Amino acid sequence: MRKALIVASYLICLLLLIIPLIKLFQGAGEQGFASIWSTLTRQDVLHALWVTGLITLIVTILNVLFGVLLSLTLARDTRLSRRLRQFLNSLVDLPFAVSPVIAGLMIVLLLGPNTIIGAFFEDVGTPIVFALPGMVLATLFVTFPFTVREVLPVLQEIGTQQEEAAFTLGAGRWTTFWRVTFPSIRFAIYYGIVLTVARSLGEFGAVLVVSGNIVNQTQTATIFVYQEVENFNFAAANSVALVLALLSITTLLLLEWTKKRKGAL
Amino acid sequence: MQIEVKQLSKSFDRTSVVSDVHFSIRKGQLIGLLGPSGGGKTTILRLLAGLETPSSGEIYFDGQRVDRLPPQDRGIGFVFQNYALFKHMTVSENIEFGLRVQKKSRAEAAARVQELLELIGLQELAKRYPHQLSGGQRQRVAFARALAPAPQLLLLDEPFSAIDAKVRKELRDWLRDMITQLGVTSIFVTHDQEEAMAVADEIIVFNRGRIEQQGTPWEIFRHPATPFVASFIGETNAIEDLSLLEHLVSLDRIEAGSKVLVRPESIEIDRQQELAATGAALLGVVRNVQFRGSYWQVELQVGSQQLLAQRPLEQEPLRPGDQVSVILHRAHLFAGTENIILENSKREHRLNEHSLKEHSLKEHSFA
Repeated sequence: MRKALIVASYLICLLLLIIPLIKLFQGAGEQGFASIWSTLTRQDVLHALWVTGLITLIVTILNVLFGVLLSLTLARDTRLSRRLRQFLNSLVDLPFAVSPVIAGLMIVLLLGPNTIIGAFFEDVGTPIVFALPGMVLATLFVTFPFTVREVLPVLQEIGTQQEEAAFTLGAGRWTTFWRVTFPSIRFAIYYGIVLTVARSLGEFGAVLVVSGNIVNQTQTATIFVYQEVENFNFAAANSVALVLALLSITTLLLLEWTKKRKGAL
Repeated sequence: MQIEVKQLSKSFDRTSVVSDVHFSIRKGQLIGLLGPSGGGKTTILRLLAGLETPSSGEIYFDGQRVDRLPPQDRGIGFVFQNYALFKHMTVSENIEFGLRVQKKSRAEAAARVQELLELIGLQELAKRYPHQLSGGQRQRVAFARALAPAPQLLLLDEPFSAIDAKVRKELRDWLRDMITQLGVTSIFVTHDQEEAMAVADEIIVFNRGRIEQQGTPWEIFRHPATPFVASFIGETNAIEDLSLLEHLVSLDRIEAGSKVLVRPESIEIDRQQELAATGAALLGVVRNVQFRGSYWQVELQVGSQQLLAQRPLEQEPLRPGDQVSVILHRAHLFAGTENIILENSKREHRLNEHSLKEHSLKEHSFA
């Protein structure tokens, strides 16, 4: 019985994860390297990859910054009442519960060109929806819990005593954060970064709703794949999918490495 | 540093933890804050350090008011209960931390670290990380780290609680010597009365956020100011059957509602009728005898009253069921705010005779 279950779980793993991945590489291989290369050097493909990369970069920076700040507030700021902090803490998980498509829709409803805020930004010359800012916002929403959920438990676990010890030794808050707190939460932050990058690269639903899918402007790599599949252009879809898969595998390996380092500390 | 605390109170979410506390501490003293867990001792220490803000009251260091200053500006050293060493720094980096924060030059800091490493005797472990050290070694590092910036006041929160019994005594004596040698005013928190007695110049007994008594260990042991102090310092018997005290005091002097406590070491037991002859003895039965390392602990039944007594090892051991005569030498009577020590006068007499005899014997040997 036990053996059968183990075998079954390996089979599911093989069926759901390994075989599709092999198929992906095979598909790309059949096309030949030249064909992949010609797809990847297409202007619209390069642009889509560039948009995905840019969004990932901006989102990761903002997410880490605000994630760490929010974690510090939730774990350390005793000026806020415990109840308020508990409420904020549960709010952090909201993006896990809300479907990304709905998240994108919320942004359109709030900041779209027909709304007051949206119209204002349109007039100023930086439209939000159907442009990069909206796509960044959508991705930020979806990836928001990752850093907080990694950093907050570590902050709670290490407690405040080391920081208090630094205070009594004369260190200010800034010095204490960089010399005492940061080294302890460093690997949790790295782990949060890896998760955020992986999710930002692959995010589809929220971005699709917000972007408007304008080729050479707001099309991301995942949306490109989706569109090429719709057009029955499997070769092009496969090439870009391959790039995304390679990036994911790299992040996965990084994830494993940071996990080990996190466990070692 | 001379310390003065006035009307200090602290409450968390309307729960009062420290209420209306006054005390002053002379420069260079080693003070023990003693009390049961949850008595507010650690909160007092954290208030002194600036890690908590008082709800009301004032704290003065050398005449200067400090209760609104952040911990960074108070010139204190703090040794945490679990040491709170920076776990990603080596021993010498830990000790160096406070010096680097003070913007001391590298050379100056290195010299001071070396000096402190010698003081704590861990030079060869300078490159180790905290998790590679034993409890006692961590304690020493925490102590050196707190001392590095040359604080005027050293605060220690339960400094020995995480260390096993044998090392604890060694470390306690070591720490005492260190503090005396350096002359830094120090306050340590403990719930262990033996530890406070052994280490402190003066003890402040705390209970439920209030000071019960401040004094030297001997004063506190000999003249407890409140029933709480009497029962917390050493073991005590609460006397319910007041007729036991007839040899100590005329019973009508004891008001209703007052409390009488007798220490086990103030109870003498004898199997022969020698004590009974003095007319000051009570009759009792031995209920139980326990070996306690340096004495026998004897459970007695005298009338309806149960008593715990101590009996020296050199005396003949007693067995449960033995009929004995019992003398109470000393009792503490607490009536309202007043406390009176009752001495057994007849016994006193006998003691005097005894010491006189000893005295003359000594003279004899001199001659």
